[in-house]
Amino acid sequence: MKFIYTKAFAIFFICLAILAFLMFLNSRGALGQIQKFFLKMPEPAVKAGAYATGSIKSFFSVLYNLKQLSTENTELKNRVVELKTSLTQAEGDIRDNEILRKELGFKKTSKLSLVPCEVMSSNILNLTDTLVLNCGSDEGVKEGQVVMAQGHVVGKIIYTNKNTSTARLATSSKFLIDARVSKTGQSAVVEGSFSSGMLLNQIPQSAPLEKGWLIVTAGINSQVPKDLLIGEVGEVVSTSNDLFKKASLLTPVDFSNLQFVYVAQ
Amino acid sequence: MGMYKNIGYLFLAFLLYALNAGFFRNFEFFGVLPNLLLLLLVYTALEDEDYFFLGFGFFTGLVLDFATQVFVGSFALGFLFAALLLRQISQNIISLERNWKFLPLMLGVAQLVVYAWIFFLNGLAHRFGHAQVFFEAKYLLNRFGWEFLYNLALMYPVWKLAEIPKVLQVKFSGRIK
Repeated sequence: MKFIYTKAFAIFFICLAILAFLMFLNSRGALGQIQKFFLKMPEPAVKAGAYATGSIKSFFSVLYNLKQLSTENTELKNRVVELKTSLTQAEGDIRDNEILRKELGFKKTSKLSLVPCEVMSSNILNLTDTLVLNCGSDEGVKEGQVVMAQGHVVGKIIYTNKNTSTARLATSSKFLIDARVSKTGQSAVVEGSFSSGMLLNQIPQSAPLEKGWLIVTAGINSQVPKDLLIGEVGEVVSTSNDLFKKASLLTPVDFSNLQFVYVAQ
Repeated sequence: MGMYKNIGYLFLAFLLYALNAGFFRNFEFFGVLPNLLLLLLVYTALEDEDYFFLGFGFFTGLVLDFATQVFVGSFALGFLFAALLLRQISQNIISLERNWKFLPLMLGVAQLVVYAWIFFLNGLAHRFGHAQVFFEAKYLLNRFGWEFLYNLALMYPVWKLAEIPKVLQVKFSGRIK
């Protein structure tokens, strides 16, 4: 019996027809609601699984890192004291800044507008390093806008539908954003590092760079607001023979467990 | 036509997707996560007597398309062709009994077919500006081996879970079909 007369071929052909229809809907940007439905259905079970493993993972990681925690605790206490001193100075600078602005008649920059979004699907097979968010162009989300969580940059919007959008994670090897060192104003570039972290790159060898310095967005791109926190400098990974300085960036965000994010407009 | 069995497979697909997205998300090795729906596809293609596995493979592939944001149809067609190929191989080329020697080969073939479709269809769509992400062949090849090993390690538990719908079918209707 020829294959085209079999039941298998009939099912195969029906599947191809459904796919062709879905591709047509996709080209019209009308697939968002169907996508949302498919991703919303298993959401309670996904969250239950993530909650269970998150608790187990954090319990064992605490036991494993007990010694390190004690050292970190001492370092953090010292850091708090330093930051309190800096804060007092900064408050004085803010007051002076306000007075100067009034004197010179500068227009105040508008405050950041944040669109809250829920993560519907988070890099399920670690294949694409992307998130699917439940907000789209209807909520004012546009391609190129930055995604934030816990006060840090975690990604960029790469695609929008009416009701959903896709964000590339900051740990993706294809992620790139203009940045600067907050302390010195030195320009740099932050790139993702094969799903494992972020790298600070293109800092001249002569420019100073120390562990713990904050890295923020440079605001060169009109879609990305200035001074959004990306992370802090970890270890310098380049040598003096390299063209530019490179350093790892540390961030407290757990990229594998993002549930709520904000899109900065 | 095995209604209870088919409902059992759909429920199991739902459960495996939730496990993949929620539970295994925190257990990545060498940058890869397992693909439990692919393991279920291999089971249904080799063990299912009727043609439910074709539509089932297509549907689960479509869910993965939406979840991973590849071009719609990449996983769906990959799963569909993989299911068809596995059934043809098991019926016409190798006469398979429940022999664990052939199952890693079947898993490897299924994974290769799925990866090939993702690379081809998603690459074509990206070329014409319809796909959001693009996969280089080197990237897919680098992760193929580790994902195969991770899937292989989870094959036995998924196989045992996948036998439950058949048990349900026998329990409720008194026969396997």
